[in-house]
Amino acid sequence: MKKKDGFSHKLGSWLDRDNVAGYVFILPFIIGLIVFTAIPFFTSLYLAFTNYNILSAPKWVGLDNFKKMFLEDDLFWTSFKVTFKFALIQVPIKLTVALLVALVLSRSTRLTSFYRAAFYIPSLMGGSVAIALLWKQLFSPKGVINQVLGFFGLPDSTAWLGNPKTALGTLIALGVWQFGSSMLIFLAAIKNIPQSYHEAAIVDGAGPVRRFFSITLPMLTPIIFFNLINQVIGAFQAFNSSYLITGGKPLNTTLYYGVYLYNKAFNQFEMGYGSAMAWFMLLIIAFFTALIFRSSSAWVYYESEGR
Amino acid sequence: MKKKQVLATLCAGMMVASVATGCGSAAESAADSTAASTDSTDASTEASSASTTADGKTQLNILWWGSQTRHELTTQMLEKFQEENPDIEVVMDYSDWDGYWTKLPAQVAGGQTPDVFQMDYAKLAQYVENGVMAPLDDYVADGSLDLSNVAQSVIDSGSIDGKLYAVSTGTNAPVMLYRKDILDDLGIEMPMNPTMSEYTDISKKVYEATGLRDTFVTSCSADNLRFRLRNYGMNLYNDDASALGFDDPKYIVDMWQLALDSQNEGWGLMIGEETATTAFDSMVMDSWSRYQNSNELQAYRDATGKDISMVMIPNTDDATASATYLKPAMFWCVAADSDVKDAAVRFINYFANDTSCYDIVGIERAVPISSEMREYVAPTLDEVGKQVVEFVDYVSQPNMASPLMNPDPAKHSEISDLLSQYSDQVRYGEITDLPTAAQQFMDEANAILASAE
Repeated sequence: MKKKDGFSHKLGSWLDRDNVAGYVFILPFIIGLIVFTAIPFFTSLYLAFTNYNILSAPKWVGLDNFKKMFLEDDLFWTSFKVTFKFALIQVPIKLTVALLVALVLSRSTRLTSFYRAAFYIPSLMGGSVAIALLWKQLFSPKGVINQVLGFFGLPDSTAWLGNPKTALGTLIALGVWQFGSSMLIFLAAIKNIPQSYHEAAIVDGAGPVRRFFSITLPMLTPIIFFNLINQVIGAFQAFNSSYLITGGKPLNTTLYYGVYLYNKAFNQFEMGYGSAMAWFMLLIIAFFTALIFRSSSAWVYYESEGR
Repeated sequence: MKKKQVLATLCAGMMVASVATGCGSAAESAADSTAASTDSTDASTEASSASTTADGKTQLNILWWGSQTRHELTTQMLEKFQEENPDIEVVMDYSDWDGYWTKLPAQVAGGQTPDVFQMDYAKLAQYVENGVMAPLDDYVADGSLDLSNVAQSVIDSGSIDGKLYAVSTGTNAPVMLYRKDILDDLGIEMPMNPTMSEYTDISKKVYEATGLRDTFVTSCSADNLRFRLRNYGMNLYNDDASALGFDDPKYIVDMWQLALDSQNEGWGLMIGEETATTAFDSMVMDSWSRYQNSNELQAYRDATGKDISMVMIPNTDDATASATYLKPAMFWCVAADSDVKDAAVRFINYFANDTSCYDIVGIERAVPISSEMREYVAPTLDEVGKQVVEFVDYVSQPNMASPLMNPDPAKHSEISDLLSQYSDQVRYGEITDLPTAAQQFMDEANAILASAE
């Protein structure tokens, strides 16, 4: 055996260090992060201050895009309000439904695993074009929903997606229907609550409702917190259902922020304006996330804190 | 323990290496990676090696939009082209219309403009202004692009500021497609050149008999307004597109009023009441007629399986000019930064002048621009093809069509969206003062056009 020279010895001891192995392991992710996230991210920050139509080079325009957004563009505010309304209605309903279904499915019966899968399937297919088109068919004037309503003698000629009063609600219903992933997380958390708490409460004479509000719900608050943040971010970024089903119509009542941004960037080729909108949305999402985090100390219960 | 760590590090390193190279070959075009293998033989002499394949062929990227019918025919035609030009290897890429206008700009922005690509008349000016296309005059001059059998007006339609950037694939016209099977059942004859009231009368009868409703008068789109303006010798934009081409709100008001009447009387389709998810389906499920282009007849018949025929776009009853125009169906263009312009021009020349091309594609990209090819293709056509050629001939008669407008300005899609916003509010009854709303739209549109200067 040859004696190790200085360099290979150094290399060897460098490779032996725990950190290096770790960094090398995460290198693929880091490269991906830089190439596919960081570079586009900062490029879009630059583009937000330019006029860029893709075909020719971006022109620096300072704050013009933001000025136009806030002061001149009515549709910008319309889309902002629609998205806000959408998030405000969909998130609470979706989380409530997810929690209730999780409660029901937390009991072990023979069919439970079947139902768990059945309720999760809509979430798996959630983002897909097929589901969006299915929804469009279901709620079309001659669709299944109207046929069922007609069967029970109810008004059966509503154009659910064409009526400004019902269109957003129809899309929210689609979103709520896809409660599966939140439900699974709730389900796991419910299973994690020590049975001894419930047994102690039963001994003390607490009924199921009391046990839900005094044991299950407080124990679930960290998970509710987690799901809430996830769903709020998801709702602000909503795109598919509006883009595929209504295209923002009727009367812009379903014009999500994301859809308007896309129209500006990819139909009218105002990439600079689209980037400015994207950055404003990032700030809005950051603001609400921070708000929820701030409020969490008031309502989220962590067992380890011993309160 | 230590050995394990070293081993793990090496494994990770190998993973990284394979990921990195994987990314590399995916990001670059296939051409680059294959070129690398040939480069080793004579790397110094091949300047444009990026466009040469492993077996020394010139690689030609071609991108187009279209229906399934077009994709199949074009693929066959390009295989034939490669047979006749064994030194060229074509890389085909295609998309539907909507996807095309995000795909092409993305490729242009990424410096990967396809060597040959399809272009639409409405977008021509925009792409030329941004320097995406190569001028082709030199190739016409040296004979490699033979346009001697092509009418000057057709060559002009692809020229901007006296330079040829785009070669038309064929001539077509906007048409009203309609369900002939339904009208035959009802014993109704559709006039070849209908007036608006003739058209709406038929639309009402069809609604009463079948429940199918009208989508043409209710769409209130920029195209609809354009047709209406052309009826009075005007256009959507003025000559240099610095403002709208009209200053009387009356034309917009009339368009909206007709849509409102049709909705109130039941024969016009309300917004959001359509059941169809594709344009093809709409001619089966929702409506009996549809505004399209003459070369699309076959695609609509194929996709719906119905007996669909076509007539001219209806002209208003007091029209002084025809709404219809003859236009280049679409163009072939060459990328300004293409390394293989000679091969690209060879393909365009093949498409313009080679009989073996038309044996396959027929008139799917509209009636050929070369008079020789028109004569060649005429006897080979089936009934539908003949109908398309006859239609273009019919419209080509004196006074049947009015002159073609300039290509649309870059702001067209913003203005078209703006009009849709107003039209929707009118159709939902949110706006009742039509003249004021029309004037508002015009003011805003003019401001958008002025800001583009």
